[in-house]
Amino acid sequence: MNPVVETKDLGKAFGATVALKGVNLEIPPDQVIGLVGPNGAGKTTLFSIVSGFLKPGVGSVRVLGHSPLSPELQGRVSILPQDASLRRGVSIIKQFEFFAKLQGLSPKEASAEAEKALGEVDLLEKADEGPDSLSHGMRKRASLAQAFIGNPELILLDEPTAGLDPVTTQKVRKLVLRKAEGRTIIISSHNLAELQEACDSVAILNLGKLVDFRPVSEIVGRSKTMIIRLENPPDDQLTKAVCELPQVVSVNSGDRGNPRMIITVDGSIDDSEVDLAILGVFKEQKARYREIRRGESLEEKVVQITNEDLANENSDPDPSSKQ
Amino acid sequence: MDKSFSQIRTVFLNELAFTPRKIAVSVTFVFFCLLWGFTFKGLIELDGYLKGANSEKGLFLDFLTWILGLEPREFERFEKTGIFFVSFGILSLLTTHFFVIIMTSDQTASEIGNRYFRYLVTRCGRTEIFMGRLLSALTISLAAIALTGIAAFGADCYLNGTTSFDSVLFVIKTCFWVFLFCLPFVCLCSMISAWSGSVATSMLCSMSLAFLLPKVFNVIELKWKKVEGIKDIREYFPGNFTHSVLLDNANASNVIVPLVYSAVFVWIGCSIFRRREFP
Repeated sequence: MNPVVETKDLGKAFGATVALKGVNLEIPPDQVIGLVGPNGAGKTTLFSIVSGFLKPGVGSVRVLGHSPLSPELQGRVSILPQDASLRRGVSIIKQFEFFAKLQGLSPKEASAEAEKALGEVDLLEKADEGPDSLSHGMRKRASLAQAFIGNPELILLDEPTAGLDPVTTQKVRKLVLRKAEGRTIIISSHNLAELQEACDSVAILNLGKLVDFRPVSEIVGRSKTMIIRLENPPDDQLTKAVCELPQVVSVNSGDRGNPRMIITVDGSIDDSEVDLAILGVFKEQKARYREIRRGESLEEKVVQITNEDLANENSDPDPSSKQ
Repeated sequence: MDKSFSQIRTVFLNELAFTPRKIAVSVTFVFFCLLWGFTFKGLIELDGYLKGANSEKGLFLDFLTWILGLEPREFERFEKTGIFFVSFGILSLLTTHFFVIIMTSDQTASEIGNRYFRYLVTRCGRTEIFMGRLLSALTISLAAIALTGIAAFGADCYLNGTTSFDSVLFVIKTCFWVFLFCLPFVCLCSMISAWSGSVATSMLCSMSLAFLLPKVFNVIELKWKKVEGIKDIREYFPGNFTHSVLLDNANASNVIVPLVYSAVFVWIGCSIFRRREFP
């Protein structure tokens, strides 16, 4: 199947600041993709280029087989832009009807579509109010809802849950998953726990480069690492006792603010045997724990991958690779 | 093509409904109405005063000829049209474009700034957005100009109990010329608005052109008055046909020149808007 978004050696600079460099990405259809990376990694720039707000500096982009500014893409791509505001003083429903009409819907269809979009984010009762009279969270939900107007094949969501409370965040996640059927959704977010739940694959950007793009299951699959979050920082006796277990390869302790043990185990031994042995030591030492997890979270993996990339970048003797 | 027209129409109607809610537009419109309210009130009072004394009427005509730099023999046309309508014509042609510039200077600028266009450009062609908004600005300008024409009829009816065919024709012609006078400035606003993304820059550039252009011509004419045909260069710049219109000497170039300028400004503005980035 043809990729929904295809970039080849994509680069973009703003003056001396390089926002993207050499990004080669192929987003498959009908998937929810997470776009992650630290601030300034180039996520919003990539979204802006795919949406046609910005022109690529170098390289090329194809969206649904067309150039981002092609009239063929009108209404087929939609975006929840970061920091964009709806018109003040005009009711949200009127604005949504306008968007729907621009996408080619008749006035009647536009009205129904606007109501449907607002209903999906629980804002129907605020339909006749302007965005200025809504709370931040409501405005965010309204902006999110406009991205679902019509029947876009590709939806780009830039920080859809930023500033939202946990209950609304969960609703947004469910909505995204519901809407993902038969279309591609790309989500840029710092809420990696949400992305881990919602996304099929994750693309990691760092310093404008694509450093990884794999299915979430591959990135955070069960590994030889076991993380035990403790109530108190582990003492030397506990650490020594765990270290002495034949199934354990190494132990790293967390700091005072984050009491935990990161235990690397022998991968050839049965998981349950290892778990029981470690828990046995905890019982003997009367150590109290809060959480035991096999494998690392997406957040930890992203931090690890980003740090590795940074280390490679700093040790790379070839200056041309830093362009 | 159908889709394109439909999008222009949608943007145009949406913009037309929204524009009066813009603070700059509504405040300017209030001042515009106040100016004309006081002007008509003054003209009604002046008309009664001038009808009573020929010497004062002569003084007033002298004043007009001084303002417009006319020859005394050119009074006749003024006499025929009447002081009230001549004054209306002069004021319309000298002031309306300034109000229109303020009302139409923000066709795209502020929404480039607040990124509202990010909601539109994935749904609609950029040319369609630009043209829809320009048409809306032109309609608002035309509505403001037409309103002054209607008010002039009202004031004339109040003065004379009725209005003549000549007066109707004069007002319609004046409104047409005022609109033509404003046209290049509205298009210039749209061009600068698309380029700069700043309302202030758009307003400043258009205002400067509207204010400075006549002054520049005055300086040129004074400095090189002996150069043959120096006065004719006015003809090739927008907003320089006040005299011709008032003296009923308008010619084809008075129509063609503003239209050509408008077309050039729209073409450049549209090209800029189609190519510009929305960071």
